[in-house]
Amino acid sequence: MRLHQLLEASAAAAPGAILLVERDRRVSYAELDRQANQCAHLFQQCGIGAGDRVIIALENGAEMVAAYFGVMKAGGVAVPLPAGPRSDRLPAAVADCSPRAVVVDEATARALGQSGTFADVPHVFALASAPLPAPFVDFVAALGDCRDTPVALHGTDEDLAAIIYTSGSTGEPRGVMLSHRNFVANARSIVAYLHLTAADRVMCVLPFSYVYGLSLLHTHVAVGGSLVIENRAAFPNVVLASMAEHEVTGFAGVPSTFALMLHRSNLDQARLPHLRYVTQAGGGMSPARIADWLARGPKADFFVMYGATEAAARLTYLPPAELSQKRASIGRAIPGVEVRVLTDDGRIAAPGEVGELVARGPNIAPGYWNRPAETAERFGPEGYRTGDLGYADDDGCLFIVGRRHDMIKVGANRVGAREIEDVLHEHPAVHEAAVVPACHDLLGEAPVAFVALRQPLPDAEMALRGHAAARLAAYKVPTRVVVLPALPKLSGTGKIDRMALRQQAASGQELPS
Amino acid sequence: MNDTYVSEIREFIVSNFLFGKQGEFSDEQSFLESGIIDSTGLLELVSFVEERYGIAVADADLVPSNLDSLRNISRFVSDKVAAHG
Repeated sequence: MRLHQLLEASAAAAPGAILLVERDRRVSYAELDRQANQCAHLFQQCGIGAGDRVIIALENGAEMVAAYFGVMKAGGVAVPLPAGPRSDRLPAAVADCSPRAVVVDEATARALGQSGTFADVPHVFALASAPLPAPFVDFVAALGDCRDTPVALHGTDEDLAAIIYTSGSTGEPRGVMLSHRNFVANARSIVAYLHLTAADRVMCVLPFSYVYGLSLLHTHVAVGGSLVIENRAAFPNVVLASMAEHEVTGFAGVPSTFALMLHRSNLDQARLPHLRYVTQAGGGMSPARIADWLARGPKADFFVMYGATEAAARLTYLPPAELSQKRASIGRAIPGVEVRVLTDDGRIAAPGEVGELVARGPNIAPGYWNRPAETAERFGPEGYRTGDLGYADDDGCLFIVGRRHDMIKVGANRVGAREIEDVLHEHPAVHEAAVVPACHDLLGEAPVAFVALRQPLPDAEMALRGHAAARLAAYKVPTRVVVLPALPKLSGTGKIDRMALRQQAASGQELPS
Repeated sequence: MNDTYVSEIREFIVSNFLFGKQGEFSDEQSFLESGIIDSTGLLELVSFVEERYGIAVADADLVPSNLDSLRNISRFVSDKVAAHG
């Protein structure tokens, strides 16, 4: 089955069911499917067919979803990107994937309109409140002339459905190619372990340009469920109020989503009796933070999950019942997927032995767009090499020690950034913490911590180094603790921008004396 | 006094989020909808007004009507300062 056929099947089964709730607007499955058909006809008129890329840089909403599935209905490849003028990914993505069309929001159009970014793009559409000058064509007006009848199907399940850009290890955008089969297989697996049904309604604050956000869309479309779109995640009180108003059954966040709710919202007053489950992915959340959420957050099953864009989102999950005895574990592989720990010489690691997590299954991407060398490096017969180092315990539960790239070599010792971050998160004044390696004259590398505080902490550097020293071996204690008003985030995903912190740590100012 | 807040906060936003580029954003424009500030930026902005004006922003205060435009945040700061004064 192809990804957009999930939408078509749900629209046929229950045309009047609500797919999207956006503030005061509700969009049914039938309505969204018709809009997607219109988009498909428009894209076909643009000459878009099998394999042609269409960039969609729109905020979450009906237009974004219709354009996304519309590209696939026309046989093309959707390239969702973060919307807004602060996103710096668009010019690089245009250059990398040579789209036949782009659809951008008004703010992006105004920011990039005269920059020449779109000079080689044949069709440039903008979703704007008022017509914009060339090269922009009004997207809504263009759709108005298109029929909403189904388009003829082309292609196979192995065709690409989307290219998702992520930050590569050196920070430059890298396009992950994902097929219809990848997405459909992963959606079905997630639906199975979360027990999603048409009665489920998820609060969606994650952008659809991010694979975790897309997995919310795909899984709910697969079962005929609903998504409540809230693009004001910066205001956790707004999100909580909307969760209560719409009686959502599910909520999905990255660690910074939960940090914001725990430290800057009225979480303690929230009444969410309909909330059935919460999922967390997008980087490790410290056990201290999870415990805080379980104590103060709504009473709902908490799923720790792990994945990668290269896996169409999901690789593992920890059943909520095991959360207390498997502290800091990412659980086991999701149904239909195999995740093994491989040593550097290619052996399967013994329980407790650290190696690289390597994944196989129908959700694993065929590779990176236009990057054969990196594709060969990360994708092989053994599976997708995640770059994450970890081990399995005697029960087969997986634990991540750190990124291959984030391992800090302090003298003869190695320490994962994650271990130090988890300890810093146990301090009551810490809102968020990230540890990166910095060059050190004597040790080669040394851990440097960047923290954002939730409450004032006098002489924070000494206090936090002392806190770490009481809990960690001496070589793991950060040589510097730098307090920032907020940690820099990658646009869209809300993940901490570790490259920016590495650069700051390396800039000399922050070097250990 | 309100105008002082507007211009000082505008200056903070221009230098920290627009990197000195004098964007054309009006006093009424939503920071989030116009994409000027994301969630990290919003917390930086809150820290800035807390330190600059010696006010405490409570969790319950973190709503768009207080913070999501220059006009809103200036009025919010002005009310807070008056309440303290």
